[in-house]
Amino acid sequence: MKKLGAKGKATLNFYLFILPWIVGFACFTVIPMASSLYFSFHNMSVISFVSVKPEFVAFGNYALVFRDTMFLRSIVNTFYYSAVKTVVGLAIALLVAVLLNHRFRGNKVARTLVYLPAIIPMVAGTMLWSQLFSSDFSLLNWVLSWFGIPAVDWLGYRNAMGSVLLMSIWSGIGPSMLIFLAALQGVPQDIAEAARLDGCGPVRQFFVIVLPMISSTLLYLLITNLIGGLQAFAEQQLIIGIGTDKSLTMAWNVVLNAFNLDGFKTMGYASAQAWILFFIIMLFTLLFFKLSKKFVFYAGERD
Amino acid sequence: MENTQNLSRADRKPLSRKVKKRAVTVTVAAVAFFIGFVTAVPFIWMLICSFFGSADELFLFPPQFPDRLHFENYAAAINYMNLWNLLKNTMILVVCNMTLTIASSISVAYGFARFRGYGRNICFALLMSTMMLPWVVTMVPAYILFSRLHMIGTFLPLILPSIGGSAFYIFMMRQYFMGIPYDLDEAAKLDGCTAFGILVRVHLPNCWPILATMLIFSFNGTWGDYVGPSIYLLKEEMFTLSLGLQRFKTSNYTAPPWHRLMAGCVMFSLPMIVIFACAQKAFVRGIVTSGLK
Repeated sequence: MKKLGAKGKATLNFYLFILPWIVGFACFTVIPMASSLYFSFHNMSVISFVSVKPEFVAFGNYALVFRDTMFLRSIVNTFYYSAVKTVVGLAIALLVAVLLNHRFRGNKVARTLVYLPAIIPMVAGTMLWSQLFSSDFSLLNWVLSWFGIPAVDWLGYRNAMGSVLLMSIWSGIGPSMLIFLAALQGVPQDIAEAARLDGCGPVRQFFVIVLPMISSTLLYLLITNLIGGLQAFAEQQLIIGIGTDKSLTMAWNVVLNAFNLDGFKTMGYASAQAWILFFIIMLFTLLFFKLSKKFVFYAGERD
Repeated sequence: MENTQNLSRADRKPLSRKVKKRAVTVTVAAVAFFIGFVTAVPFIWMLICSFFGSADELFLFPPQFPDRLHFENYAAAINYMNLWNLLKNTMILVVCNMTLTIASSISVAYGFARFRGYGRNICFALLMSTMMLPWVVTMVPAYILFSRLHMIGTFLPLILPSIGGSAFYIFMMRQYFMGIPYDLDEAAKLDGCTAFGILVRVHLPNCWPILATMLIFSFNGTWGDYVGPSIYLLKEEMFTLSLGLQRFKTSNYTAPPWHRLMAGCVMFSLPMIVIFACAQKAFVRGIVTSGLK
């Protein structure tokens, strides 16, 4: 065997060690993505794939997407869900993190209580909330009755999406809170102290000093929460059951079309929808990275 | 102008400073505990519900406590769901996924951290970009791939994709390896250790904390997974806990037996709670690492 140079040897070792990833990446990312792109230009069904040849329709599937009012509705629903979940969820998580960043007795207990919802498996969580949403006489409606609010029909046509939001904000606070907390603990105390001596109140201190210092974390959480929200489907499906034009999400729509067993050839159409979802997510990610260059402060960054 | 204002403010309350600080702490603690209580109430309610004698008792105005602890709900849920079988299926997936993902992730991370091969940066960028890839895009073609391999209805579609490791674990592990001085590798190399030997004999025995984090997260991910199994598992005897519990709810033609369902939910959540309680440090570390850009 020819003797390899140092660089050649490193390359050989490198590829040997990352071989599992290359295999996984090729089989479960590259091949599926390529075939998904192929499907999106064809009419085909999940059951007739082997027996019936897919028929080429060029951009027909993509054109169809923009005439499909249900899909357009699902885009609106998904954006609504994702935006509210991200903004409200992160606001609460940040508030709790700021509170827990203070030292007080029982701090760890409070932290565990806030984190508790996140460790409950999703099906258990959605089942618990289905129960809370299921009746006029549920615990939730009882709490509302203290404030004189009449029983809410949680899973009704208009309210269903809001109810799912309530559940997913509840289960999503924990992880974001911990990440915020870690970032807050990294903010140097002396800067805050200096600001305080300069007569900066706690609220102003937070917005002028702390928030800019943790802006990279905030941005990271914004992106990941938004991307996660845009792909949401299981919570909706498990709690609501049947999607309406007020509650169907994009990913849910894709799943329904992909595994349509009525004999309609909608798998290609589902692939086209999935790609549109992918482009929307890419667009958002790029937008956020552009924004991050402008607004985010990275400690230790040099010009 | 501003300075004089500040001075006067500081002059006014030099004595009450300590009192004020104490008041702030008490208020902060009170609000934090209130929020913690509100987030924990649904879970506590789940626990209470699992002890009711009938499903109707859950919906009383105002809510009551159970007349006694109806432990038979747990037995009924176990029997109805065939829980031991669900547990067996879930554990098969958990163990296989855990082993594959972690073994692959460690190897890949080591490769990225220690060898400056050609194309390393491109590969790393590709790896990181897969974290943003929506699962819906690959779901449909992956399903077709597995159906042509006649794997639908087996555990394989849920296990095989783990072979590539997880981008998040690889990132975490790579950070860990990069923090370890090269000298350690060099010394082992001089002693005649191969690259693989260095990884297994030198690094692995030292990376327990990070391994614990990966174990927990990997357990967490597979234990509670619903979407994957719901797509690929068809027969009831192969169902995982997620699917079995959901089936338990929907298979009743009358109103769902909420008290028994809640007993099922408590049992389903219990391992997670135990793990969280026992290994909070490793748990928190994993989440915090995911927040590092």
